[in-house]
Amino acid sequence: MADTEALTGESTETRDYGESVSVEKGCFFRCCDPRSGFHRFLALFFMCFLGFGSYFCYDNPGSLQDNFIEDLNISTAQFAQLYSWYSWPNVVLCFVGGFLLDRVFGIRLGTVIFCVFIVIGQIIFALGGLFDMFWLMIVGRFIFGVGGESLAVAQNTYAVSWFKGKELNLVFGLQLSFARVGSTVNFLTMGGVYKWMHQYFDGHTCLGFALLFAAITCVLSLFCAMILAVFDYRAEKILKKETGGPAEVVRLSDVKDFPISFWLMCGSCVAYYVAIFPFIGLGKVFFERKFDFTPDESNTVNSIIYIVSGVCSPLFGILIDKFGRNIFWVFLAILATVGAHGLLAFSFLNPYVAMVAMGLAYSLLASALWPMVALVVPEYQLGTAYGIMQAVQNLGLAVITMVAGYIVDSGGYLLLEVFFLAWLCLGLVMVLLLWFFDSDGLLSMTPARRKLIEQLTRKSTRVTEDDIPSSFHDEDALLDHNGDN
Amino acid sequence: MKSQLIATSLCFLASISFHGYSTLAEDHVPRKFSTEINPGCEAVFGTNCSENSTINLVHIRSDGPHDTLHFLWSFLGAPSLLLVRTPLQSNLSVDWTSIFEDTGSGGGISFEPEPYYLFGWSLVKVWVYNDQNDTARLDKADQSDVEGYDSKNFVWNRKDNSSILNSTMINLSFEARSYDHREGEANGVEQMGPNGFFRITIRMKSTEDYSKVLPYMMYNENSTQVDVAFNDVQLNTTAEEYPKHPRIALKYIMVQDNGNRNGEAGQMKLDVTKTLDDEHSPGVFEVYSINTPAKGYNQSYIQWRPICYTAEVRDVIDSVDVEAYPLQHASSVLHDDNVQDSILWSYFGTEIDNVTFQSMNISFGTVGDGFYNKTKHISWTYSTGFGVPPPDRVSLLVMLVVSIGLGIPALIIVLSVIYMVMCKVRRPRDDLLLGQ
Repeated sequence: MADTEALTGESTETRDYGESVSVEKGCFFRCCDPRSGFHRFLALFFMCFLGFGSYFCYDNPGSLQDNFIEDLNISTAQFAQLYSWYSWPNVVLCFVGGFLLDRVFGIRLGTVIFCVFIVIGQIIFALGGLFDMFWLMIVGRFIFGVGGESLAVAQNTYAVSWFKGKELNLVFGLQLSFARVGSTVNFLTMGGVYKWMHQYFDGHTCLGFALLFAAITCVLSLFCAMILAVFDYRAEKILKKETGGPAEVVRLSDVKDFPISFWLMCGSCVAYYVAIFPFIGLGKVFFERKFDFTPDESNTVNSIIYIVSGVCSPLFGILIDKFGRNIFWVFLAILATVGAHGLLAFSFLNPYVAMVAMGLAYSLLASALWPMVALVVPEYQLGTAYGIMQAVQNLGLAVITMVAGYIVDSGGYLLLEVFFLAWLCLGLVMVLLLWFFDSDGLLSMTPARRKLIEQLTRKSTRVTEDDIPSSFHDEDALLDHNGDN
Repeated sequence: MKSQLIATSLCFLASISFHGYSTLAEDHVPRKFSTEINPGCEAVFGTNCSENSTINLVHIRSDGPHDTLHFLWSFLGAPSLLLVRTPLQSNLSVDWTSIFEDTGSGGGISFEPEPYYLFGWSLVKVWVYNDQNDTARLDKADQSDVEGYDSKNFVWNRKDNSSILNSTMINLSFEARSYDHREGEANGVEQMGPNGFFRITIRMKSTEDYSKVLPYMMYNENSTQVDVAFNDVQLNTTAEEYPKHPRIALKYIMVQDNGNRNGEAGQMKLDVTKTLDDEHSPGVFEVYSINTPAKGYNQSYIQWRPICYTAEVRDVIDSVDVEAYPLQHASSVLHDDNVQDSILWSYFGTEIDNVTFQSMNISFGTVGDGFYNKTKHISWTYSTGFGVPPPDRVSLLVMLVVSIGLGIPALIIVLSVIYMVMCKVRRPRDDLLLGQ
């Protein structure tokens, strides 16, 4: 009973601070106090690990691509469907996930439910491999997808609930880095897991058992979810926290109000991401064939994007928070990725160069693009805006991954790279259009200038970049005058 | 960085188009094919011998404006091709008696007047070896596990009903469904399994075009593409003898006569080139070719993509690797080289030891693919011809996408730079007004 109450958070008991002290008998005071840094750090640890299983298993197909193709005797187009079907449920769930977490299940139960989904999904996926039933594997990936992306929303919600107003940016950055660590570990270890299994099994049975082994990480995530639920329940009781802030409601009627800048951002987001994730999914065989890498070397090169991203995302986040000019960074990131894909397509230069460049560009874009949405969309519509952006991104990934697989089978890898280049160029065009439509100049400003304009706007109706004399550079001095920074 | 990227891409595009143009302009003279089957055979075999599908000497003349290329295919004995470049109005004369008699000095094929250049190859042996350790390599197999079958012993039939023999296109198949064991077992001629066949298909086109058959190699009027297919072939008389982990390999002998003899004749080379473009053979970035030593204009090649297929209907899923082994010196004296089995001997006789004469093995299969037994089928295509192999060109689609894709943003950037410069030119006047 108590456990269910803990999970749903609907207990009507209230305790005051005095009663809560008695709870801490039998455990160290500091680590059990939800206000203490140590306890919050412990909670952070579990929050980060929460997503580990999901990110680890998401790229299982990519790290074992040649094994999938040989053991199940499938084409690259069919293989790509394993990624595609992960994205399909999230076209809809991006709108609904937040709502489910806030209103229907509550954060604690919701997170556990999503973790259960990823465990079940991965197990079904593995069973499909064991019994050589490709359709079952697709069902598994679909279920896994239902849980996976929503789990990311849950992670963010936990972070906001525990760290708002304090170290939230840092926590987001750490969560993202940890997610990337999960992906990297997948690429570096699944090859070895398969080889180990190969000593005892063969063919699709070996594949199935390797995937089942990977499901252990999902079970670990489930444990983290349960532990976090307990922590959160205690914290709620002890601190009498409100269950989250006002939920960011998703209202599709807001869509008509969104400025064209938002849609261009959406477009450039999709155009960019479809040139990264499907490429990683199909990259292993590409590196084996074109650059004569061994499967292990291929996996390592493939994981470079995640490794670099894991390290650089927080750094770039800090830099962009400080220096602004988001749109310029987005443009630079897309351009760098064009260069990277160009190198991979039209030269035999060591792919590490291109992959490191792609990793840096990807981190840069992610750090610069998503905050831009907050600059063009009012705060009460942000939930809807992010939901739409995620949904469109997943739709793009679902469709383009399938197309990419088909292109490899029929036209080879050069054509695939050219296909990605075309999308990136479309992204470039959209970013350039975004710069044109950004009449306020808001997106290419530094944060200091933005603040300045906000304050000036409070006094007059509309202030633009042109109203500030170009000779006026000493923004910091002005801000000190206004006493706000 | 942008301008460097744009400059590099424009340079690249320019170089592709220039290269494409230059190969178009180079020695692509229009040629016409004309085919005769079993020329002069009536003297020995009587009338209607050219319709006899078991006697196979196919002479394809490819007449150009300045010279004639002869593609002389022989399935009398080992499957062979003689590629001969002669003056116009040159004639082939075949002495059928000499071909079939074992004179010990060749004789039977000649061209009148003397040819400028000759290149020939012959598929002399099929190796079936037991790959115990699954290495997919012929050179790692134990000698005792390797069994060789002379290709002359296959009973070759020409498939006339599916052939195309006109002046711009040739498509001709030769198929063997039985094997003559001769001195071996006492059984003599034996069917190679219920659905067993060993098929060689010749395809030629007089214009530059990509083949419609994987791996989409390019035709031109100086070359021919050869498909070798080996299906459900059981050559051992008893089931116990059949290897548990069988793999197939082929042995070719190749000869070139460019007028040089002995020391000056030179050696053929096996080159592996990396190619960026895998549009026509998805996933394969290498091209293997055997190139003969060039003497001016005269050289030849055998070229292939290191990929073969384990199903009759070819698909990327069914592909396995092709392994080529270093070229070996060949001689008419060496037993394994079997040069006497083919018309190379009929043309050269013992003179063959004085020209460029080498042999090579090719094996099929990938580690872990389940061996030949999995599908009991291997198909492989290679291209052979006169001159340099036709270079793969990046397709129009790729060039179009890259130029439009990079061109539009570049154009926008250029326009916006101009716009910003124009703005800056106007601005100082505004500032002056504000200052007042």
